[in-house]
Amino acid sequence: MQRPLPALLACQSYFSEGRSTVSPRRLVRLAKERRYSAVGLADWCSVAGAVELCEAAGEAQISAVIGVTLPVLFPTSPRSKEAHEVFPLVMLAKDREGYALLCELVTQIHLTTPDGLPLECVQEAASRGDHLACLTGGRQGFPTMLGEKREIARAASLLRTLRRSFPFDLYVQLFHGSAPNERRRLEYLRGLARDLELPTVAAPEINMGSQDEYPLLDALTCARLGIDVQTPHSERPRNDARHVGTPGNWGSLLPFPDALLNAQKLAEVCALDLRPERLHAPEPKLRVFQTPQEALEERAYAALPLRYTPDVRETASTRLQQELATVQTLEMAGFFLTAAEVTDYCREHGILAAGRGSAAGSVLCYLLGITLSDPIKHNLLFERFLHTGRASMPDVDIDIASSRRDQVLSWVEARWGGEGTGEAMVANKITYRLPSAVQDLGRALGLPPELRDRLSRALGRDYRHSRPHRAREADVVFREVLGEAPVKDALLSLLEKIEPGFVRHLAPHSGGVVLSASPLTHYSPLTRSSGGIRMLTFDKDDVEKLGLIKLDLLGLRMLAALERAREEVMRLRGGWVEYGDLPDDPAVWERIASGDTLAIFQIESPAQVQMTARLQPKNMTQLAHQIALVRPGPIQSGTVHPYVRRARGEEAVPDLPEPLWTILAPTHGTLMFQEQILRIAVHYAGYSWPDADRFRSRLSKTEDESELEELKNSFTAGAALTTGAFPWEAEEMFATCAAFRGYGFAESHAHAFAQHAYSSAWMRQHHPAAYLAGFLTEAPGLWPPATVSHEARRWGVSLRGVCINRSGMSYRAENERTVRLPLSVVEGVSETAARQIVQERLTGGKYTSVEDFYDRVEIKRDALDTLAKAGAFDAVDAQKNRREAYYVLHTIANTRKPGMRGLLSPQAESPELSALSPDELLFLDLDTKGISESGRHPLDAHRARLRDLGCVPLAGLRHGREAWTAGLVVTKQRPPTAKGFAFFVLEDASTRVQAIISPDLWEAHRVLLRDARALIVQGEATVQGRAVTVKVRRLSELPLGNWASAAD
Amino acid sequence: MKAVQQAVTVSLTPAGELGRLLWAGRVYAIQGVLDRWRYGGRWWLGETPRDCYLVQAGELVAELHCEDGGNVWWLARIQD
Repeated sequence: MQRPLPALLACQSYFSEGRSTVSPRRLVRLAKERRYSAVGLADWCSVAGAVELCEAAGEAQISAVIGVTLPVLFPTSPRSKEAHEVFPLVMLAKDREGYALLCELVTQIHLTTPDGLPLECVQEAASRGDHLACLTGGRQGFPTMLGEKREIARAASLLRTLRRSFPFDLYVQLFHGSAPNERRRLEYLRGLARDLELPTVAAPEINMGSQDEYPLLDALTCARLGIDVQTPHSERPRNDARHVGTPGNWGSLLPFPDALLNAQKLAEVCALDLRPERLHAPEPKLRVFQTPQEALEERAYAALPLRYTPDVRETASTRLQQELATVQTLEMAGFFLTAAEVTDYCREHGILAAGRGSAAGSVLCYLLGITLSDPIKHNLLFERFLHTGRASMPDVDIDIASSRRDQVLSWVEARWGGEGTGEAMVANKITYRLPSAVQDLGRALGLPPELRDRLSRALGRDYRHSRPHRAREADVVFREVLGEAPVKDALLSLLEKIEPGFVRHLAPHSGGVVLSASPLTHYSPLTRSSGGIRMLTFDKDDVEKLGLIKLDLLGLRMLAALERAREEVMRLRGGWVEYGDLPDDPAVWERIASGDTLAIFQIESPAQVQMTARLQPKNMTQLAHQIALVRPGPIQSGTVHPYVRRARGEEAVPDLPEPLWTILAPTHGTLMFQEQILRIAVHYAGYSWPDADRFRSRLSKTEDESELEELKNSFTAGAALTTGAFPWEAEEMFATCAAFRGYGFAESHAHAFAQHAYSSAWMRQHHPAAYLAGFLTEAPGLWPPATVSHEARRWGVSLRGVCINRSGMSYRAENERTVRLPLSVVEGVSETAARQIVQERLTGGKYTSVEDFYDRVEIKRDALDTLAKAGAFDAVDAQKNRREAYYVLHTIANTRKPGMRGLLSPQAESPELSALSPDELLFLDLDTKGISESGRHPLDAHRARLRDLGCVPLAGLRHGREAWTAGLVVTKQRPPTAKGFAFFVLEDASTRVQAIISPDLWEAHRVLLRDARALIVQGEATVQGRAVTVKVRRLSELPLGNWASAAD
Repeated sequence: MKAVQQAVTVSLTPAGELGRLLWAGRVYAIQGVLDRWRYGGRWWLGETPRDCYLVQAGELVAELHCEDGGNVWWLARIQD
């Protein structure tokens, strides 16, 4: 009787980067369907799929085997020119220690020996105990490859060498790739094993879920190898054999009872679940005999009287006791002390940093200085952050001024990563989107780079984030670029086969750092990103499932802008702005309420401007509510309009039964925050805090109708028992919670952001020049610098041009009303060149002429030209004319190189050159700097023409009136929640207006809208304070000539 | 081996095994399959994967293949 193959031991997933088409989860699903007892993952130099594998296998109730395919450097024969030859070995972990050994070996490859692992390292790992099983590799394995070269004696010798390291755990791997001579190859491998008294194991190489993925596997392989499909290569798959298949099918291809039995044995011996383990927090610095909990309590109670006035101290103390008890139960004191150590470092080094997210609901975090807003004052919930039943680790997210984040990360690496393995960034799984998939697969199909780029650009905003499997939806774009060429269909059918969420590669997370007291290689291999950042090979979700503790150190540009603005204030006035302690200024609120919010954190988008004009926030709570309101969660759950009407007093807040009234009254009876869902689950439906947290989490993630039904039933039953709510009432409440999903802010997070928003508004009000300098240098907002600088003229702040004698490395407030452009803003002037110019000025004195500059600074000719065009020599040039400066530069450039003085300087009079017109100056500015100090707007040149066409200026639009108008396209948005509507912001010299473009218009003018730099539109205007919108009925492009727009 | 690449008729046995090969007006009984493999084909030109067989048919040693889902058999090569 034919035996089936019991387990798949040597599968590869997409974590093998270009070697497979299937995810670990789908592998498990297919294996379960086909009744395999175990799935073994042996990715190429990676165990990044291990957590997903364990989780999926746990759910499917089959065994998971974790392994890795390692390229190993084997010694060559003495006659060979090369010292080593690389062959893969498949190593399977037999236990947790074995997994840690695999992580170490992979780390060794990533960090030290990228060409392959020296055989000695494998031998050393094997010598550390009976933790690994070794398979000799599939088609590329040394027994097969050497056999094909008829070097059988060498194959036997290498097997003997390996057998000494793995006396009982070395297996000759039998595979079947449906290639010619497969039967003879299998006989050879079995003969070799028999001669050396080694066991064999049936372990087919699996790289696909199903046979029809062969073209995709081939194309991905070509993309990895950097070849096109016409180029033969030994690593390309020959056929569709490497798919999951059925146990019976594989059993008939590998009909060797001993090998099949060994597959079963290995599947049992190597079954492993990584997940249950927990990591202890990194060790904080403590006094002798002091426990982390004692240190934490001591520090928190010491801060209590400093942070809280006597009237609320009692409440704060009670809350602190509860929080400390929770922390003690979870043994997480070390974690809090570690987070506090990071924020301490930031404070000690003048780096602006603040905790955000659910941590802002903790009094403990507030007292430790991790967060800046008082949770008691804003009635924030601790349980959203941490509770005793919480199964996953809490997130502590710390926003750090982006310009100084690298400094903090270096310090963290030095503090915890001293031995090299205690600290690493979390990885981000970069998944395929249409443009990246088009690039990779297009290259494999031989599409030239310019065509691929055109296609990527044409996919534009509409399909940029689409998953490749939905490529047919963008058929019109593919047809537009590729026509009806056969390659279009080949590309589309490849794209359709890419699994949703297909991981292309790993990159460092924007801020997630894992700190550990023990080496991190116990949990994950370490690698270095292309930027040199040490990172784990797991993402934030995997890390949490592994029980690792993560700190998010996120760079926030607005904090960098505020920090820089503070420095500018210090320089100009000598005063220090304490952001955590700014006075409440009615003038600031009044200006926010008028909708004048450009360059203000979080409330500068057109949607927020309109919301500001309607809600007119007057305190921090209202501002936090507004920030949280323009989010997908509240928009989808229908919170926005009722909230606005009730906040404006146009509608009464409905009479809600308790406890809903207490929970929802602060937000006018609407559901706005995640904390409210938790409170409803606990007080209305009778859940415990841990259950409520799970309820919220499942509700926000589930796509499954049956799971939603199950959640609804338990919610309504709980509500009936707890508050006696009727089923329809409870169902209505549940529907509101379900519509909210996960796309809303935590209340604590909204308050943390409101703080920054107020700080930015306060700085703009009181120190506009300093704020503008910080803002333009760090560019934290969504508006281009030209728009911000136009707006700044209204604040009374103007720009001064680039000057070789005054400009520095960053925007700089020269006084309370002017800001100087930096040298680095000039296109082509690198940071190094700008630094060189400034250093020479500081050491050798101011430049006296164009010639003097040329002689003293060695700088590239292109950069010199651009500096002249940008007007950097206006202050020293004889005629104060850019044409003349350009002429002089070219005259000298013909005589000598820059940076050296000439022995003879020909003295020639410059010819009389005409001055540049204001529009020429403007276009030169925009071309060379992207920003102009002149105050002119690109549309000024077209004003007369537009007036002749009957266009009114944007500022001339009147409420409820139809008009033609025109503007430069500054931003374009087409959010997924907007049901196909697009929002363009148009700008002229006077103001900005939001143009709302209907889906029909979008479809009719898709290409025009994608490429246009300025638009003429007709429509009805809605004016509400400074928020003006036009509902566009007709539009056309306004050609602007050859100057490139600021909008993308 | 000599390249032929001609369409031929192959009849199967009731058990689904290769039975007879009809080529150039002659019938060859297929006595055994010496080797079999799969070839992925140039998928980017629309080719589908195919099963390939090296068979002993009378005095002929022939390489046959049939594309997935197709009924046309091809005689790719014969041993000369």
